[in-house]
Amino acid sequence: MNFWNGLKKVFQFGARGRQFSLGNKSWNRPKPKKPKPEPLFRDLEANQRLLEKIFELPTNQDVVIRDFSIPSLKQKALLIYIDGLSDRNTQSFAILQPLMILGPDEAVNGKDPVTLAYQTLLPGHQLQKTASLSDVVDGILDGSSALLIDGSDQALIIETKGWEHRGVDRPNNEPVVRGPQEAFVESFRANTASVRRYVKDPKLVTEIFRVGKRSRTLVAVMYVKDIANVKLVEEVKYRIQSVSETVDYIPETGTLEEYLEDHPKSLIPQMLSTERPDRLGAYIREGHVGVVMANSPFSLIIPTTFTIFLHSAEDYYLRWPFGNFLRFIRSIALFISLMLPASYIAVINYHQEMIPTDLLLAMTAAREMVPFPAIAEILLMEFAFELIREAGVRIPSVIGPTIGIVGALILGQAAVAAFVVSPILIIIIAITALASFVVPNYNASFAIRILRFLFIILAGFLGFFGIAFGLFLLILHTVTITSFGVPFMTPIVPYQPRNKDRVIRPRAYEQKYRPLFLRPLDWIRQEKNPRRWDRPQSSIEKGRDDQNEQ
Amino acid sequence: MTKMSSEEKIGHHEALSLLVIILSAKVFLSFPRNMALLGDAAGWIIVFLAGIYSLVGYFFLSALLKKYPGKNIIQIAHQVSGGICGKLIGAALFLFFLMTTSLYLRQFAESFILAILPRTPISVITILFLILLVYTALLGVETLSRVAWLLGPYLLIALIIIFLFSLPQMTFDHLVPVLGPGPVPLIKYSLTHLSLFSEIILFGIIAPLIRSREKINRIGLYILGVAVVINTGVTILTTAVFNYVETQKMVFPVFQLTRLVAYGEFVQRVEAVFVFLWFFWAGIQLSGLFYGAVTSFAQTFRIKNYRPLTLPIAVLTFTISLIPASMTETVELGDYTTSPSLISNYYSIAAFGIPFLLWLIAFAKKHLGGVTND
Amino acid sequence: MIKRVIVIGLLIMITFLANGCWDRRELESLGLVQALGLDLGPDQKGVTVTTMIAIPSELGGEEGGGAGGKPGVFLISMDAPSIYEAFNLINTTVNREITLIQNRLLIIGEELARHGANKWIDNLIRYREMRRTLLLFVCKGTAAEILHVQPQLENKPSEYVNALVALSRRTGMYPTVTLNDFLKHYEAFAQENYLPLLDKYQRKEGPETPPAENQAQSGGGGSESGTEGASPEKKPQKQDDVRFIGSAIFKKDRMVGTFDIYETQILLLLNDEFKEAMLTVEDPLKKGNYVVFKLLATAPGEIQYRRQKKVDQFSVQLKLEADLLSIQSQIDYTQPKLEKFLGRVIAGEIKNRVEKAIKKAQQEYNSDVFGFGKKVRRTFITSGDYEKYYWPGKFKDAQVNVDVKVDLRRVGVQFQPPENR
Repeated sequence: MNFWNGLKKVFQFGARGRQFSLGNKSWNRPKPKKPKPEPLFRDLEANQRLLEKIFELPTNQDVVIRDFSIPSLKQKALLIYIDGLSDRNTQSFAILQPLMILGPDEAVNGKDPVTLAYQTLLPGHQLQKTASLSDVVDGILDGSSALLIDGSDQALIIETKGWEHRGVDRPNNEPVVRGPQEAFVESFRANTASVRRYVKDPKLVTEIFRVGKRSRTLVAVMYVKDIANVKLVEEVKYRIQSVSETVDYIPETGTLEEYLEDHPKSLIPQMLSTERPDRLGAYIREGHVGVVMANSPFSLIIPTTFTIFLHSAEDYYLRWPFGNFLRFIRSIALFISLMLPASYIAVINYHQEMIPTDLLLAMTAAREMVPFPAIAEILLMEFAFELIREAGVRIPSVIGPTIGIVGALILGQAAVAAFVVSPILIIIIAITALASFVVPNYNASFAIRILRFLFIILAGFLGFFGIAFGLFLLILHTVTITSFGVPFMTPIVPYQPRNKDRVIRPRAYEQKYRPLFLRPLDWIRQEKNPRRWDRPQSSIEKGRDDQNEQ
Repeated sequence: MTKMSSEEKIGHHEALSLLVIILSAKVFLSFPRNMALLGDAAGWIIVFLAGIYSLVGYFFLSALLKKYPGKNIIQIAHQVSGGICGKLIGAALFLFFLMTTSLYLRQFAESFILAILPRTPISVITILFLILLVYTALLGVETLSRVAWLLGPYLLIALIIIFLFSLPQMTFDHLVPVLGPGPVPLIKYSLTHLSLFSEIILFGIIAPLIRSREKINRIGLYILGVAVVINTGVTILTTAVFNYVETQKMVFPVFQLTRLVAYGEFVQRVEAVFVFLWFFWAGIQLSGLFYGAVTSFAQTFRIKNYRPLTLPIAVLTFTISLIPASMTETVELGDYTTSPSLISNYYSIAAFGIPFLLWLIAFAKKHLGGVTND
Repeated sequence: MIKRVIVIGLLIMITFLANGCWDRRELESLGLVQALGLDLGPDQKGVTVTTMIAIPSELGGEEGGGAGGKPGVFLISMDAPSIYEAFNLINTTVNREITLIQNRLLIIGEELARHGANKWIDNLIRYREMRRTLLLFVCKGTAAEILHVQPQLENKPSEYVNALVALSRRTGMYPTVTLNDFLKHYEAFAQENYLPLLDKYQRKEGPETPPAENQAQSGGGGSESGTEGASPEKKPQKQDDVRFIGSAIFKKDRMVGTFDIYETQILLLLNDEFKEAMLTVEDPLKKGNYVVFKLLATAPGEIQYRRQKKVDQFSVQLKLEADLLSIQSQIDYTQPKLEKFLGRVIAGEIKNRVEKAIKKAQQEYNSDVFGFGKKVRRTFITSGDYEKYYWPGKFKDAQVNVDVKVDLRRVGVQFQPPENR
């Protein structure tokens, strides 16, 4: 690569050109192009040949074509579905039975047979008429059954989804003590229905897209239409549609996250992924936009700011002092898990005067036996701990508890006894590990793990100066990145005094405004003091009516 | 008219904290010692009076900014005096920022070497700082101001903690004799020491970026007010804890203050923690001044994109910071202590003389008629 | 391209980490100095530096047994023209780098103190590892001998001295002076310096027991007598300890004299550093008996200064409180009238002591250790005038009026003393 080109790239580093920002009202995105739909044939044989070619029949033995004739319409018809994805009972009793046996005699007077079947013959609860081939193919792949009748260029897609799936279970990764114990599952409709149960707002809109040219996974963008910012919703939809037109296969929301983010190269996650429908519902009510995907029990919340990574659902369900106490502990845990090993190295190697003399002499006595320098020791132990953690995730649950014993006994005890590491280090590593589990978000804890290694190396290089340097760079970086146009450190850094819910949350009845960084259409969440009975005595004595208080 | 960046905006809280930090970071260096040298026990009076004079000097700057809203001081210079004169003024400002950045960089690097890293060669620390400065300049002043607002309260809390721990050792006995060398030398020194608050000229460069146009004047006043309070407070603190005679001889008085912080048997010798926070003061101040240097150079010569200038100016800063041969020479160069220092006089002239000059020219043109470069 | 950059970056980083950065010091390479002793060198020009270096692996082991094993520290002395050269000389035999970061004490031999502090005071301020929170002491004899002492209750001598120093609040018999305080007084010529004075002390452990009995008691608590008895041929070891015997008075930079412990109490009283102490006074109504009380300084003493016709006049007003601790004669001093009477007697005694101490400082030593100069300085507007006035020359002729008021506040848990009926 040319030197000058590289230099130019360096100088373009922080330039932010035209970026999406919620406040920028003149921002416009091009409207997505609607693709031209492919038509179906009127002739049933032609349609059948077309579909057989598309689905690679007869080699593909998943797709079943059931041809029959409809006596009431006096036409031939065929039903296409995928075995295993469709519910047999619905097909037999709601489609085949009424068409083949139960239908009254109808005269086909030039009327479209599909329309007739749609309106009078089929008792199914969800039918869709379509003239587009891609809709038929999508419908079949979704698990619906497609009904084609001879003489019509339209097809009916009948909802017959039913397959083996996991039932609604407890959340694995975000358990709470107080609060609902439901989690998302892989079934798309079950997920969207769960969210609906928590936000019973008629204005909650679910827009469904299909991403991936070959995977056609269903993605739902859920928002409340008169709260969420219009530009934000448009931007989310635009990005998802651009992705869906170009990428072949998107398996999970994690991959989708990478496609949609503002800063994909950054270590810091910009979208929150959550397993709990109550959390998703809470954020949608605030004005965020939620993205739910089929086959994925994790949904995304857009946009996300720094303080949201420190919140868990339980903070809101507990009383105010307890919730704040938990948040306080979590903030300290964040700090500890990031900085403690690095501070240990800095103090031991550079600033030994900070340690009280007794402790220092004891530590020196312990370290005299150990052959490695402190920084090699700590990197070794951190690496060992990462091994334990990864192993713990993948180990079959039968021998799961063994890992605890192996880790604690062998790595901890024996290493100390063999003078490979010093005992103080084991304490430091254990506390750091515990603190890193306190951080409630999986993505964020990864960011912290990697940053911790960088800080250790910086501390080994220059003590507290190195840590300060790294911290300054980190702060510079987090202040720059945006999550869908919202600066990541809002509301701490573009300072918004009305947004009181930063690290510590105010009382539930004091939060009058929705988060202003989202620029919601409806700012006010509740009136100023919803506890009407709690007003000061004087206003009641003056005889003012409670109802008129605002 | 060149614009610095398409959409940079700074909120007024952030601008306040950024400039207060830039004006007050020097308290961690030899500043209390210089004041004690000049004013014995009454060094704080010099600082206070210099603050009041700089408020007067600030009046001209704010009048200029109000008259030409949306333009920073170099653009105003181009408009008011036009052509060669404008370029000269811009170059003078650029030199001002360059000198302050280099000298402060050297002093801060020396302070870190003395405090926590005695054997590290100074180029390592200087180069690390420069990497930080270039990174920040590339990211823009909006980011820097946000960082200043984010870290501001904690840095202030650090100062307050130092203050609280030093309280038991403060005695008013050390602040007497009250008028130090006498009222006449005090006034003379405070006049020549306008350079203490000369960094306020950076406000002239970032003023058009501040979101709320109407509040610009008030923000400037608040900035100067808080900075005067902090500088005076620290001078009083160091003189009250250590006798003025001792403060006159310490290289970094605030560092010695942090060495005294102790509580019971457990918390002792914790000055490394304060040095950790001191790094942020230094980083923000140097980044702000470096940004000032880069943009003033770009604006003087009407260069649209200031980014490629960062590396050359960084190299220049590095070189200049290594010119003084020793710590003593650095302090002597930068501040008027035992003998009048050319550079410190230059600071005062550049920071307060230039707005005054421009204001005078604008005033004259308005009242005596004439063509302005529009 | 990016891969190459990352690889090169990693290589550079590993080089830095592997060979050690400039300032990184592993814990086990530090020779931690716990206490520093300075004596005048053999040729009167240099210094003899004695350092007490901690041995980490021997801490928490057995208590210092009588066989002479030093608990966790060892001493080494070197002669050199300056302190720092002495450190380098020590490093020619001690294999760990001498570092003063955990040092808390500096003991100065009396000879060096009398010789003058001018030459070595700068030594102590400039070096970055020396701290202003260092505790300074002067000792009779040489610092090297004092540092050889082994305390009984503590494993580490520095802890011992620290705790002792903290106790100065309870007894008021010796001051606590850090390097910071020393320097403050040194440079401002408003007050002279004083430092606590140490001396060796032979601890009396009770009567000497004959050897035969000791063999039966050899199991008892690790005390010296057991060991002494076990080998009667060995000379019984006298247990040496240190003891504070008052304070050393400086004038400018030289030590000119000492105050004993009672005079030091007065010194601390006038300097507002006195907290409490237990004192005795002779019983005024029944001579030959003593009344014991605890003196508390709850309010700071007031010193007022007036300059009348070129004569400096000070009036010292002390308001103290006393808690009654013990009455030897059975006179009931807890009655209100007698309480007041006793208060006046105590006040008189204290006033006596104060006047004597001030006179001693004025006449014998001509050194203002009480801080009168600070009050003088307040009346000057500019520092030039104060320097012209030159207070240290005028201290000798100052007139001091002392006025002490003592109130008896508490009497303990008993009102009247038990009577012998």
